[in-house]
Amino acid sequence: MDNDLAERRAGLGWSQAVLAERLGVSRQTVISIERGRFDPSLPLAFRIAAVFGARIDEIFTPATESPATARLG
Amino acid sequence: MTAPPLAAGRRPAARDLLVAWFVGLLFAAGLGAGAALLRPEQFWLVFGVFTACALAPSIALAWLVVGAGRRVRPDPRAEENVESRWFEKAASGALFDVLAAAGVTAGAVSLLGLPLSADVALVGVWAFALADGGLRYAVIRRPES
Repeated sequence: MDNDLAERRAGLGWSQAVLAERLGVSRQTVISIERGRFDPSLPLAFRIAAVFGARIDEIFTPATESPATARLG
Repeated sequence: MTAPPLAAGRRPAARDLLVAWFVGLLFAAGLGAGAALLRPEQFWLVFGVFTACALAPSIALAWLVVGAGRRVRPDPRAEENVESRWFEKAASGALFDVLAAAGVTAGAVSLLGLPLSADVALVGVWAFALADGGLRYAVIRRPES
């Protein structure tokens, strides 16, 4: 999944550590989510949405596939 | 909000650590003595080796049972962290590696008629699983950190 977590976090002036503390997860988890390498569980996605006052589908969107990746799938 | 005095925060931790070390040492020495009594011909050698080998896990156990470990509560959100996912992937990969390696080794030992004692085999499986799981975790973690 793609997401705009990093932009939203930066918009609020929060560090990754601050966001991680607010979500109750490790800083590495925030880093991996922002890089799109880790899809959060549904409860965590709801907490992320609540922290930013947005809906889950406003933050997370299906990953955009490159043509090469799409052909493989 | 006022911070608690440092000394007040440190004393219980140091006491817990000392208790864990002391109880762990006693427990390891007990295990060493037990093993040495079963091999009285080399009492002090067996006592020393078994006590030394059992010391680290005994201290860890003492920390968990009588030290600060008894106050540690599991994180209810631990599974939501990426580290938990890494560990699961590494552990599941290591399990299949151990199964494959044990199968190949058992076949080779059987075919070649090699003598392999149970304690050596068990230590081998334990060490292989530990090394393989640790290596897999490091490889999974590397590109993401």
